[in-house]
Amino acid sequence: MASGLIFWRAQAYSLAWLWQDWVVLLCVYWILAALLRSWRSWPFVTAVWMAALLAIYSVVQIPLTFAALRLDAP
Amino acid sequence: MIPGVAALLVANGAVLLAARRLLEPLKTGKPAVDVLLFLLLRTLLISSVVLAAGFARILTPLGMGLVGGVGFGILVILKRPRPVRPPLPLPWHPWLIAAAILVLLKLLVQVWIFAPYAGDVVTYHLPKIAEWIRAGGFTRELGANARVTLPAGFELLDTWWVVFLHHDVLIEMAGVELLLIASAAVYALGREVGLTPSPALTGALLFAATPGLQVEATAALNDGAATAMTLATAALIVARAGLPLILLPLALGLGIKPTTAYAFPGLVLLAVLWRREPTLPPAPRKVALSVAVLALAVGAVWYVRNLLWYGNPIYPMGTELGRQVQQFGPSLASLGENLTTLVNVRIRDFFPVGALHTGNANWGAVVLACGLPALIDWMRDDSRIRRLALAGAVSTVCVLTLVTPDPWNMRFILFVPALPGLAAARAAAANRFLAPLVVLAALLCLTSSIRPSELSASDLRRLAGSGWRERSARPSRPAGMDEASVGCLGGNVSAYWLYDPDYSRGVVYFREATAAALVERMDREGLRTLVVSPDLTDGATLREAVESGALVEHSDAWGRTYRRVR
Repeated sequence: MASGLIFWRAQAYSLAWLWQDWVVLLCVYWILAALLRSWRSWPFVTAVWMAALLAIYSVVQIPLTFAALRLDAP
Repeated sequence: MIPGVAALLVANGAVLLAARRLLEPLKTGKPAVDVLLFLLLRTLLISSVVLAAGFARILTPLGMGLVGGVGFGILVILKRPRPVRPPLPLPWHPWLIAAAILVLLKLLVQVWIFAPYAGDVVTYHLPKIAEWIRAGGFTRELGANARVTLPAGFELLDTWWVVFLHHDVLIEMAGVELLLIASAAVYALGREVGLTPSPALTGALLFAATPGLQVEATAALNDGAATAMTLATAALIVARAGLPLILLPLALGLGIKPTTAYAFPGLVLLAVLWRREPTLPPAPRKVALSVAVLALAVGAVWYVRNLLWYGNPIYPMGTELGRQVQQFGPSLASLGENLTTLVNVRIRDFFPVGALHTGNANWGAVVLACGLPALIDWMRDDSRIRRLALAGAVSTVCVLTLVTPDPWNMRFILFVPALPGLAAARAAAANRFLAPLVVLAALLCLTSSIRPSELSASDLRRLAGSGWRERSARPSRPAGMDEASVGCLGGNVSAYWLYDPDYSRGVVYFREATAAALVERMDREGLRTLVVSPDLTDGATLREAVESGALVEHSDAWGRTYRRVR
């Protein structure tokens, strides 16, 4: 299912954009989780993946949030 | 003011005592479920009292204060000695308690500073409350917007927080208490699926930090309240409570917002998937049935009223107004468009967080960054989570199939962050690398919801700088607002702002079709000012009244108003 979703996103959007697509990132995580969960460093991999997703979210929302907190704005 | 505050405190004390008495026979032996039931019973009692007072026309500070005082006295006199109780079933972890206090303080500051500001709230949710408070009971006049006849279960709770003070300074408390119910439901869900108290409470707090729910809670909107009832229903299903108890949040939810029914298929599926889990000991039949019947009555009252008044229990849904107010029936095209925009745009919150959810899902960073990967791990580990996620997905798909694709419809699926929130908390408890990320994501959620996008920075400065008695989010006082009453023509007026925060000004709604009838009624009612819906200012009726010299036009920050000239 995860592979199918990645294939769908690859068909629908440009390959250059896929690395920053949260759906693709989540599906890759899903596949890796199936293969590598027993690996000793898996908790670190999870943290890296969540950090990447947090970055994807924050790059849009943090500037908006800071703008909203500027109470000297009109 | 002091008698009003005293009445508010006494009445709240009475309701808390009554809810505790009512809970005694219904206790399940599971503290998390009991806390949820206690909060739901309190909501049921408040709704019932306001409904009864509205019909009896004692919806006044004195009337409600007397009811509260008598109720409190009776409950204190009837108090029986009780065995020593265990403390609240919460993990008293200092960091979690500090986080809970932080979230609560943020909400309370917003309750104090904010005044009703969202367009939907001031055009059709709250004008009816202003009419009720001014009349001391329920009125036929609800306001001029087409949506004023929608179920008003949440408005009953709003009314509770304004009737004693005859002022709306605390009106957002209704949203805060419903967010508390939603969080209690998430906590109970977490405990039921095997989380220990600390991750369950962390999950509930992460859910409560969801930006969409934070702004909903302090905007006097009812979507957060509907979410609370959906999640409470899910929690009681998972706890395997009896049907009468499950009907309690289900019926209250229908009375708050009819669209809660759109999530029912997922809840039914959840009940089917959970049918083999051990059930709770049955509650005493009479008490449980009485609670269910009362909840059904509270939830159904608006549909019965609409049936009696308009011949249609879900008026104005359908085409009674010459156009569809909301989609009627399922649509795969709607599902496709809603899902596509959710996945491609809205889940990333590309726009500032606002109460009306314009363009955003407003699920926040916790769901996208931490909750979804953690949920994948959890589903792999636990079949119960797969079942819960499947039921949640069915509810989400049903809702998205049944609502018009528009920029605001993500507020109907605010229950989604519950499971990712719990999953993120579970993952953070098990993986030391994740805790800082989850904390960062939660802080971003809370920070992004400090100033809702519907309030400009200058609005917020003005609200914070004004005294509580005159605090209002309206852009300016329309001309002629020194009068005891003003007229209002058309449905797209932010009519609630006309009443003033202490409901001291009357609003007369005009539905006259001719200039002569309009002017004649203005004279009869002794009105000098007419506030007009922007879509009507160029209409023939007003043009004729202006051309005849009966009215003169005035424009300001509010919009266009008209003054009577004799």
